[in-house]
Formats: sequence, C-alpha cells, structure tokens
Amino acid sequence: MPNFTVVNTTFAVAGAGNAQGALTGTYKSLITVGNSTTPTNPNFTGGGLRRGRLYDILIGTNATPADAYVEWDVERITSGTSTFAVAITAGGLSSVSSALELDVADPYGAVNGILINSSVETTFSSGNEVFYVGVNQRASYRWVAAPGSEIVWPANTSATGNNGLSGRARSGGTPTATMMWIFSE
Amino acid sequence: MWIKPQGYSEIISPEQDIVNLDHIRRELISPGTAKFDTCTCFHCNSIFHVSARMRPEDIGGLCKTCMRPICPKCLDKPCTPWEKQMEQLENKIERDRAVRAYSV
Repeated sequence: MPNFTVVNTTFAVAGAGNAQGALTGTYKSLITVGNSTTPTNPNFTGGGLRRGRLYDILIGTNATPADAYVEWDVERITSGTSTFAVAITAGGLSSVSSALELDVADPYGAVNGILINSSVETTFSSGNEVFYVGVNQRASYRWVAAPGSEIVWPANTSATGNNGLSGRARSGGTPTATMMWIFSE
Repeated sequence: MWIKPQGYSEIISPEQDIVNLDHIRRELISPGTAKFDTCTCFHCNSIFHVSARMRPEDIGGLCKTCMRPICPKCLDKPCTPWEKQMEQLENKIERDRAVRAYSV
C-alpha cells in the first residue's frame, strides 16, 4: 500500500483546495479525504474505491504566539459529490500523482479524493468523531499509530455513508491552522 | 488490565497548560514535551489517549465478545467491530444491486 502525505499549506491552486485561512469559532475543514465513483485520479478510469489508513497527524499553528484555545478533531464524513467536485476537476490534488507519494517510485497517485482548506464544509453526523485534542495555540501536537491501529475509512461511496475523513480545527482566537497527514491506501 | 500501546502522541508546549483529551478529560502538562500512549477502539476505531499510571476503569474497557480494547464511549454499546461495519458499508451497494436485479 503506497503512503501519501498531505499538508494544508500547499497546493493552493484551483481544483485542489484553498489557501490557509484564519480559524473561527466554527470548525473548518483543513484536510478532507474520501472515496468517490467519479474519477479522482486519471490513472484509475471509471473511479476507484479504496480503503485508507491514517496513521500520522501533525498539527500546529503558524500565527504569532498567543494564548488561545484551539480544538482539533478528525471526523468521519459522508461526502457529497459537490464536496469533492473541486478536487476531482483538472488539477485536483489527487491527480498530482508525483507530488504526494512518500516513495517517488509509486507511480499512480492517490485514488481517494483529497481537498484542503475546504470552503464548503463537508457533511458529517454527530458522534462520528474519531480523534480530538484541545491545546493552546502555542503548542504543537503529533500522533503516530502503531501498525494495525490506524484510523481506517472504508471503500464505499457517499450513498452508504462514512466514506471519508475530515481533519478540522476551530479556535476562540484567529490563528492559522496547519495540519499534516500521512496515510496509506 | 494491560493494554499494549497502539499509538504514541506528543504535545510540545512552551508553557504549562491544560489540554483536553478525547472530550473525556483534561490534563495539566508541564512546559516541554508531554507524552501519551494512545489506544484505538476496536468498535468505533477512534483514538483515545492513555496517561501513565492511569486507572484501568478510566482507560476504557475490554469487550468480552471480541476481547479487544474499546474506548469509554463504547462501553455501553454492543460489540460491533469497525472492520465488520466497514464490510457492511462496502457490501451494501452490491447487496442493493442484487435485490434490485432479482426483484419482480
């Protein structure tokens, strides 16, 4: 299973997502991944569904140090096609096959759709939170899973629900949140 | 109860602070690096943090059906491993297609 890394600080180009923005009191999706039958990768025609395993999360803020509380979580999502419409158009993040793999010898890129700094919040159900931590804005946090203990999302479409994950953050202050994921699929 | 660590986390903070872990508890951390083991719930696949010398009853539980560690939120719920839930989600589309194909 190839490994991929996504950071919400780069690829602020049309089709891949948006530039980083300041947090608010409402959760903002920083990194969203999920399955879609619409081709998200030109190397997998007709769409592809594949399980993903998130095993490394690194978070922090790149704002001026201040005392504000930042909440970070990872939610299971049921992605509507409109959510990934940005990512799956030409130039979408997941089609940039040479830019995400940890091993450059993996030629095909990610099958799952990827969207950073979504301007349209994804659909999710309460109670589907799989990760949460609340820390000071000055702090940084990292979590690494042991093999076999990753956060896994299934290979299904939005028709059956819970087909992806969304890494989110909110704050009483206005820092700019940075999140990095490493996952395999 | 002995739980083999299923993950590892670090909080690097320049000052003493209170952190909120898993919506379940708050902990006071010292300046520098605070380290926690993590466990992955076998039912809901969520991550929960385990502190050193933590009471077993606060960590979560051991499901006596699947004999795997589960998070505190899953303690009063039936045994539904996340792997099984994923298989049901992935197979539902095919099952629905078969029902439609064979229905009169």
